[in-house]
Amino acid sequence: MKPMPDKVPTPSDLLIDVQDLKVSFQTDEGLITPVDGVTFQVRKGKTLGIVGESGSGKSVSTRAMVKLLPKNAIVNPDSKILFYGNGNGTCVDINRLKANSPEIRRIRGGEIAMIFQEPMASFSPVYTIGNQIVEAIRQHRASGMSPLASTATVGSQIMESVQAQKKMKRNDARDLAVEMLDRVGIANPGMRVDQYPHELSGGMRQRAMIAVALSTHPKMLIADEPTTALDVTIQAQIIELIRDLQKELNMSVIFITHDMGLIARVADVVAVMYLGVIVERGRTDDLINDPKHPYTRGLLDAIPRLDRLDRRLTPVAGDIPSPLERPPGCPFHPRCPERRANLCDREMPGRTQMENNRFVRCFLYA
Amino acid sequence: MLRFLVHRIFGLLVTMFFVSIMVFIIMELPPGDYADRYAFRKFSGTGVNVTQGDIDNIRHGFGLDRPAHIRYAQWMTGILTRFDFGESFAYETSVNHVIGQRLWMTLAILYTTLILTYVLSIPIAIYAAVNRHSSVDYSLTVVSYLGLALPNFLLALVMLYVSVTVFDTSVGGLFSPEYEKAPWSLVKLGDMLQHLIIPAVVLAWSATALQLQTVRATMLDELNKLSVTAARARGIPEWKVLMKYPARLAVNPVVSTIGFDVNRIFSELPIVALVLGLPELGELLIQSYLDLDMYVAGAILMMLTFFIVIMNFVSDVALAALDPRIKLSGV
Repeated sequence: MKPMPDKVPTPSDLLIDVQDLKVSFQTDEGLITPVDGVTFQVRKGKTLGIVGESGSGKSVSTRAMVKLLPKNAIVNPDSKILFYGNGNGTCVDINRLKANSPEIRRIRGGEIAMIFQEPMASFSPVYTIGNQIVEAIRQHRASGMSPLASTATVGSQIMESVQAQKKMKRNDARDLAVEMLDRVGIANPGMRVDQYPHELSGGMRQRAMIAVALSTHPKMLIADEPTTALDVTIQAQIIELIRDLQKELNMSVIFITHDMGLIARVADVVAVMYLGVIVERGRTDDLINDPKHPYTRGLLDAIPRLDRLDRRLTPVAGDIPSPLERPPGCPFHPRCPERRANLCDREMPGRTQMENNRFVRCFLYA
Repeated sequence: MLRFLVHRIFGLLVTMFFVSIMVFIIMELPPGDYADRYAFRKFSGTGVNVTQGDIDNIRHGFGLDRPAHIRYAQWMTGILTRFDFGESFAYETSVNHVIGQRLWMTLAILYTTLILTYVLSIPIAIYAAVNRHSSVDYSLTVVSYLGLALPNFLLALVMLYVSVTVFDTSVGGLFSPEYEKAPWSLVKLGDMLQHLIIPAVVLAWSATALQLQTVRATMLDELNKLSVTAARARGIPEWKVLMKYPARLAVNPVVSTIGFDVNRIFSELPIVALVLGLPELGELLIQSYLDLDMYVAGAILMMLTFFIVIMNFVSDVALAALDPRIKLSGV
């Protein structure tokens, strides 16, 4: 795969622009901040990969993008989540929308869809697959639309509520659900649509989840570790499916994973997160072939490679600390093999810009 | 679903068959029988010398000298073919007549209590779970601990006192004196409901307290499920998400314990009924046992068990309708 050179994004090219996102949670043990000043952009039709260990804040950041955080979450009011979904250069700041307002609900599911790690748990066990697809379709799509209509025709005015339009008829929505199941490669979709989640295999469930997410023809798909719970062979099929649909629908994707090997295959741009901070960001090729940040290097050394079977795998030493015991200075310094005393443990390194719109947060390059 | 229903109905019939045998064994268990009791009542203090032969004659008159399995067969035949539960010795009339009104009374209390319990506990518990750590949530905890801790008869006495002194209503019994003999009318029905409300509240109190905790806990579990987040991620309005996904599943433990609730209501009813002076089955059951009036006791036991079994059946079927996963493993 040869990604396009990553130009500096321009507004016409941008789909989402997240600026200085900070998310905290009020817990019984105190205030924790799993996302501490994250900035990234996603361009139309492109894939951003977010990599990091559990607890690095990947999922929280993306859930904050659609206001899907629990009640005890506090998103810094100065953070900006600019969504250029309406195609005319203007944008909406999602962070300023009220939780559960019709506007955010229109974006959520309609413009930005999500799929999750556990396909079994993502479906409610007591409703059929079809019921849950039809629900999404009827929530977001007006009548008289084809399953994969072009972006322009699918209600693109963010502020215009779908409720004002005529809801799609239940039967039409059902037909569309069957078409979607067929499109994601589920055999015998007419039968599967009336089955319950427990009657489908794991891979089929994730395909069905993709069908739910894409049935509303979103402009962006957030895939939160969509293949972690699946067999490797199924994993490859699901990745292939997401890429095909992405091309067909000209959709942007945020792909969250902890698997560096996987990210190399799917992402145009990779952001490496550690303890709520993006420590390195750049084009996938650059980042894989020439990792700068010690943490990125550590992650890459931890994946097996067919061309270097003689080499022992080296895990990143130590564990990710609890968010309650966030280290001062650079959050990675306690595990970093190249830390500098009196510097890394005191100050947070700034962003060092490099060519190809790349940056790294590390004093090695400051 | 049809296969499931047939299967469960068959199970119900088998259960009832074994219940009937057990009930009959229980009827046989107390020492002596009504012939002894009758002879004692009729002749004690009269100076008449009663011989074993006299008692045997009385026993023959009541048909109690036949072997147990024959009496069981006759009793069951009567119930199954004519819905006839036999003769009450003590009341010298048919058991059906003795039980009649008390059965309706008991059922009225049972269903009023069940409805009251579920109508109160389910919505309040769901609200409390959604608004966790709110004032409603905390007061619910206090109220439900009170409900679990207070004995029923005490509550019955307090309510009796309050309703007489504060509201000046006649409690006790099923009807106000003026409607006791009146023909059925809407006014009489209203009067009955007014009398039902106190026993229903007393009996529903502890059941509600328990169900509040159950529903709230299940709802809290369900709220954290990924499927709920996934539904929100589809942009579904919040109230619809709550009703369609977690709330529906939070009702499951309530539905599956309907049978237990019926059972508990039946066990608590006699004491509450005694305090409130209600003519219901439990009180009659105890009295008929003391009198060795076995067919009455047996009929009541059969009735009460029958309703518990029926409500268990209803709960099974309702649960299968609510949760599609049950049909697969349930047969």
